[in-house]
Amino acid sequence: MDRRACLKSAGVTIALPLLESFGNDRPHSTGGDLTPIRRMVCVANGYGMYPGAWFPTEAGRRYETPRLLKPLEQFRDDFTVFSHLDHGVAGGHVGAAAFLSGVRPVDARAAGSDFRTLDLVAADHVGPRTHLPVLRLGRSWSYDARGALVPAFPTVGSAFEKLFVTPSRQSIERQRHRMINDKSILDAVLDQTRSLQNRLSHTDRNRMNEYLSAVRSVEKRIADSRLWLEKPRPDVELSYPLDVQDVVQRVPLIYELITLALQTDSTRVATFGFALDRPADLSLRYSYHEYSHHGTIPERVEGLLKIEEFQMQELARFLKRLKSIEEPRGGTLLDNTLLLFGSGLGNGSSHSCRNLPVLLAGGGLRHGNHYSFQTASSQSAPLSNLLLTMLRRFGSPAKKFGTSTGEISEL
Amino acid sequence: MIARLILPLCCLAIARLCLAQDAPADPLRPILKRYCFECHGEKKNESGIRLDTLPSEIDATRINRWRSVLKALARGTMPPEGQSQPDRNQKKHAILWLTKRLAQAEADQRNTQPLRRLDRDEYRNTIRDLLEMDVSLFDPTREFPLEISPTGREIVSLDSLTTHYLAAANAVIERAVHPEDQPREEKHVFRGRFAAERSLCAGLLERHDCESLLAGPGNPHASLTPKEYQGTQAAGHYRIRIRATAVTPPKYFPEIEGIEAGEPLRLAVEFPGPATTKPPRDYSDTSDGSAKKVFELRRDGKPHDYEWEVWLEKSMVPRMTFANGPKKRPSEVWVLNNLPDLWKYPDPQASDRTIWQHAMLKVLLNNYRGPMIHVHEFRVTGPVHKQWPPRSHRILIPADDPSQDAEEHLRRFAERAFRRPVTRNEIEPVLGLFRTQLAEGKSTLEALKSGFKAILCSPSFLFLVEPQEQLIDYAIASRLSYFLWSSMPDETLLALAEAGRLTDPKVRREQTRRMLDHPRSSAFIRRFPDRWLNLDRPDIAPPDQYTFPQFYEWNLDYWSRRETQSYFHHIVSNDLSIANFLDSDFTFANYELSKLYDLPRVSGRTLRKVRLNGSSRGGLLGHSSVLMATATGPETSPVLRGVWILKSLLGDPPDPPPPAVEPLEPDSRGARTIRERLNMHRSSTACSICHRKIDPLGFPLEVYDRIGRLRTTYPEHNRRIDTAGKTPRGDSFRNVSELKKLLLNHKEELARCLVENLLEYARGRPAESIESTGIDTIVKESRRSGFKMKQLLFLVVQSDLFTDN
Repeated sequence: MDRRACLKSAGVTIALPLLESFGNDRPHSTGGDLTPIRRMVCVANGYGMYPGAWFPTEAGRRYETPRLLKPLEQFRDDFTVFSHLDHGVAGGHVGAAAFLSGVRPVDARAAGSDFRTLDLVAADHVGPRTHLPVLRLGRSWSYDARGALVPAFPTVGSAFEKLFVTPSRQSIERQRHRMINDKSILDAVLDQTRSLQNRLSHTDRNRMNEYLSAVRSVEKRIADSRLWLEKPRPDVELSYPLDVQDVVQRVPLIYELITLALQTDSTRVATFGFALDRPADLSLRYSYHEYSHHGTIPERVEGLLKIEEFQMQELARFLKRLKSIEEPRGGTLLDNTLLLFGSGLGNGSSHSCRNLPVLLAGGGLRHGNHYSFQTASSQSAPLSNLLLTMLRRFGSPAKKFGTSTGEISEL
Repeated sequence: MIARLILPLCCLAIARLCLAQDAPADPLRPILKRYCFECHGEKKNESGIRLDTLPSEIDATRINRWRSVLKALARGTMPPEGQSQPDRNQKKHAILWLTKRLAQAEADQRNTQPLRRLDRDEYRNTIRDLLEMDVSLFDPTREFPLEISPTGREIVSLDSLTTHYLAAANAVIERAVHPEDQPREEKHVFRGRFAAERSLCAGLLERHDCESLLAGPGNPHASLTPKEYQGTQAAGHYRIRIRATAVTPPKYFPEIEGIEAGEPLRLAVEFPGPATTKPPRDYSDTSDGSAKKVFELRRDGKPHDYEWEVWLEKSMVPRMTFANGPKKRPSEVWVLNNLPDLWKYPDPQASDRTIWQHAMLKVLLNNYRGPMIHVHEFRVTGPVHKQWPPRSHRILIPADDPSQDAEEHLRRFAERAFRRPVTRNEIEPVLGLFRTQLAEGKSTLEALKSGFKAILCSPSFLFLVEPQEQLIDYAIASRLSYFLWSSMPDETLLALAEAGRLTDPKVRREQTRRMLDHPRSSAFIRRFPDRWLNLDRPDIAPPDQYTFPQFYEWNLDYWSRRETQSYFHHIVSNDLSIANFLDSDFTFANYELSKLYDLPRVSGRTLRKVRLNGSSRGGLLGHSSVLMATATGPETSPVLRGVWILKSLLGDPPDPPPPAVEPLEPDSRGARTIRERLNMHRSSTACSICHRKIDPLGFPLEVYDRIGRLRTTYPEHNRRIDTAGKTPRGDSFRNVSELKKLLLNHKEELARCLVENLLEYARGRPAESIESTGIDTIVKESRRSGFKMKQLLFLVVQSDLFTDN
């Protein structure tokens, strides 16, 4: 587990000699299939993007680039920007949590129907073919079928260790023992739960089903992990130190980790949420959250824009990186990755959840446009339509997602 | 996926159909039409309430509004006195009908909520009492996902929690079982052998010619650590003794020293825990795994011994700091003016500012004559174990030989962990696990440990849910103990449950009295006000560190909440009237809070009861905890504070803004006051509906700033704060004192609000409409006993509502 040693040799960006051999070694190999692997990455922040510097004023291909999109200028043909897409919800930060599902988690719970977030649905479509169903970093915006939060990796380091540090022989043995023991403990727990259920009232029995399925899913996860336990991890080198404190250093690291995970097919779905940080390295006086409450004071708006510009610069670097990687089955990694960037908050200062900032890149779609969905009859179109479109292009047969009314055919 | 979406749609359609058939039988509509629409319809929408457009299907989004209708009708507040009233029989019929339909909607909603499970605090406390284990520095829930996020209380996915339950069960059992020999007690004494960060203050140390001291402006992290100490050798109780002298100078310079004359010097000792991946959200626990103690030193300039007995984990190393020592770097101007002989202003051409600032600091430190602490000796003795193997081991395995009665150990532990008798059937899976592991060749001890772990992952341990045929008494025992102790019931409660006595309200009352006197009730004192008053959110958006450095320097997040807890505790334990929450002539303050509130200075760090002598601080509305929790942005918000009064004191939270209404864009440029901006907001009908009720309550509180300090003008535009407003009943007031006087007329609403909050805290779900009569009864009885707080608690616990699911 010596990730230090692995990281000491930092400097060279990446060395991936045997990508495909890792792929073919997978327990559930895709065999001789040569269609490119589809990936999906969702990046979100909780405070929106300053509307005055984000939305282009003109629709179509020849929009004038707004300040916040400037860092992406050179990739203009690789992404599409949207205005007047939203989920039609309110509630500030509570509403912002609907970003990837179309429904606020509180309402999903009350509705009692399955409104999982996009990453979970996409991961289900992939199945257990990759080491990790979803690589979640930063603040999680993922909610399960019951509107309950699915947490992200607590640290970047723990994610790196899981995906890329081959455990020592000793540690493998220890983990194997633990897994076997945990499995038999969980078997006993399942029996206990069923036995208790027989003695509960009708509604409590139904509610207890949730624990039953949770225990089963942990058992399954343990079984899946056992398949991966002995597989050597892909040999990658990370050109960033793992133990960074500031968000400004952490963001490039996170994008690099996502790139490596996608490239080595350790996962096909990744999410990244900007945390409520104080980006010390941007030499700003206040925290991200304080700037989001700018109260239209020009200096504060400028501070917010600095933080947002930083996000766009890093996104541009990520795009560039994905674009630079040629895939063995054809195309670049960007061509095979649907990259969503945006926020569930349309305006962090007023806490509006309408007209969300949304941008979609990659995935081999027709890009280069700004689409506005404001019409005479309606203020906005469902963002769920875009999420459904992504899901379809990801290969899922889904006909509906969240509150979708159809796909976005322009893409 | 299609099925998943079609199904609810079908249900909806069927529901509509049923309603259509029901419609003629609706006895409420005619009443509403005839007596209500005139004021709450298209023309007037009095108090912002429109009933004509409120659809009669009760879904999750409308439950609250229909609840208000029911409340008004049932209590006879509407139609108002003097107006024509519906026929009594007709009204009774309508109320019954609405109650039934609301009850159905609420029950449906309740059934979609997850089952109540132990939260992080409850889990940890339960482990503490279940295994009689010291958990002050051991937090099995440390890796559990946080239950609070910027969006409020998060419900964390049970899938991911279950992984943590499993890991926690492993950690707990491995820690509880001790097959090894008792660790030996050791004593280490350090005199003058301290490692210190002293590069800057080398000259100072020599000059004083003492063992060690802690000081240094601009060097706040200066600390002392016993040299060559390997750390504690095993977990256990340790005795710490420090000999130290407080050196107080004749003259103080608060500008650099951060201490005012008369303030005691504080020596902090800390055994830092292992680095955690997450900072703890809950300030009051030690889930960062570190042990901390702050001594206030005697001020006679002589050495004294300060002792501390503490539980420590293995390999912990202490660190001593001067807790309220000099923090600030003085500005050059200040040094030039106050210590002119020490420092000459450097060559203005000097290129590297940092170098000469550093040089200045060094000169300053070497000539420092401010307050200091000399540490002469540090002594650590331990670990002390009163018994070996420890209690936790004996609870799990009472016999010396684990194979003796092995299955009985499992059964007994299950009964303890499940807080009720267990049946043969339900323990069978655990016994099966034990036997299989034995057959596979594991040692009895290992197989037993697996069994114990399976018990800690059992739903009967993790969830607060009881089998139906079970004696309800055991459920009541758990309800009482998780209510007041946030932990499992003790032997007394379980014995009463076994005897079938807890269904007797009088017994519950006596138990409540006993439990409130037990130290474990600190969980209730700490947690309930946080929930009721929504205080557990200020840490999410702390105030700006430049404008409000006091928040950080004085640790206000912690102490302001402690103030509210002490206040609540005082009212409960002395059985005072709940009117004290609205207004009072006392509060609790320590040195820092007395500075914040500009009260006569209280000395020391400990909170003390202080008289307010006519200051407008009385009641919860003067607490900085409340004032901070109702100002999440960079500025205060009369809206949030108004909503807080309605929700937390009057129990009448306004509906959230409708999705179609775009929120107000805050504008802090200072051209207009918040009041002026809100007036514009209210000029739109969609907004004015609720804001007419909310904002006027918040305006008087504008005299308190973001951290609760009194102010008379806004800093941005220097304009006087207009504090006049109106209560929802229409009574006008000129300032916060008058508002509080008017609020004192609303004791009944407050009592009701408290009852509802207490029930929600105890049962883990909000009160439902059908329970309204029961709550009314409690409130009525509470009035008879003068709205005394402890009596109110007794009434809640004695009520049938308390034992309902």
